Amino acid sequence: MHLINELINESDTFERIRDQIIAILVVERDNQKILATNAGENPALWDFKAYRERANPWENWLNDTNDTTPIVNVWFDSDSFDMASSNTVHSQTTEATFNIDIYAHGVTKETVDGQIPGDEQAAVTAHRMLRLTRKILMSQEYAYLGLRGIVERRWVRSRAVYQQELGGNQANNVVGARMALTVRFDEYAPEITTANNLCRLFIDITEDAEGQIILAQTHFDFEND
Amino acid sequence: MGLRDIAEQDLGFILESDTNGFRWPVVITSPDGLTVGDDSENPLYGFSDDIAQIIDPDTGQAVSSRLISVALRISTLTARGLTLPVGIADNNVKKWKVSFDDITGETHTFAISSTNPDRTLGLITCILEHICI
Repeated sequence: MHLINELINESDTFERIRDQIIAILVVERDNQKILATNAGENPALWDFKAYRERANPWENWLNDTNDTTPIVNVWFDSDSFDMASSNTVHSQTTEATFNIDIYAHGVTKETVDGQIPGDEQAAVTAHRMLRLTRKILMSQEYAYLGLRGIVERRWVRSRAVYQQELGGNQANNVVGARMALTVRFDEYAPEITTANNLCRLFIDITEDAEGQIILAQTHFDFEND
Repeated sequence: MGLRDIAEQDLGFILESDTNGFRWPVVITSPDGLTVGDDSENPLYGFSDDIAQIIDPDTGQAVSSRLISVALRISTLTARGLTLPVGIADNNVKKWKVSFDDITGETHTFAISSTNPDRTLGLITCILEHICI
């Protein structure tokens, strides 16, 4: 005989944090491009295409070989529950890893006197994206990823850049990189629908026709509102 | 004439003959601007390949790319005044460039990223990458 009488359709905290990470990156990316333009810089250097939980091969650069806009893909890797900080009835504390994967495409450019090598540009672009995403997510403004009371702590656990495939002979210079973000938070029993005074948290993700994240908004609904 | 000489001559049939193989017109430009094959009365022939290739960037997710190459007869390049093509790393030197049409007739220009010269039989395979000119 069943004992749970409520439909379980509320997102777990890890799903909300996943969406919040991409929301933060998209919002700040758009603002960075505005700031860059206002500062007389090339906004394309702050641009990237944002996706979440994608697994199919990227074909962005297969035919449009001059496109050097990098790709950022955010995905939930795994988490580990901390029994010592949890209770078996109400909530369990967990530490999750979210991967911010970066794909950078470099194209060799011929100059008057020589070249700007594409393989070097791919690596430099990957490093620039690692810098941008880390600085955004580790900004003091996002100490709790904008989810204070839900997120206990967030921390960049590691960064890795993967060398181009040896012997692949591919025509595109592509460098992959990963920033692993560790986030500590609570997951709740299905009967618990509030955390502190927060009743509901809405994170709206808008995708364009190509599936790219173009708009992200977070709404909070508090108990006493 | 030894067997190796005969094999090198056979390259002429395989790579450059209009009746015996899959020859394809190719234009090659050296870093100092010497272009061979752009004259319709004296074209340069070889093999060209442009097929799909998957890149594994080690993230667990693939990137679709292309494997593009040309195969040329070394003795023909030498006879037409070219040194052996090679991948150029220096920023102050232009890369070797190669142009050829795809099967639809659209012309593509690429840079030589690396080469596999076979000095035993006289064949050089040039691995190509995209270039913005």
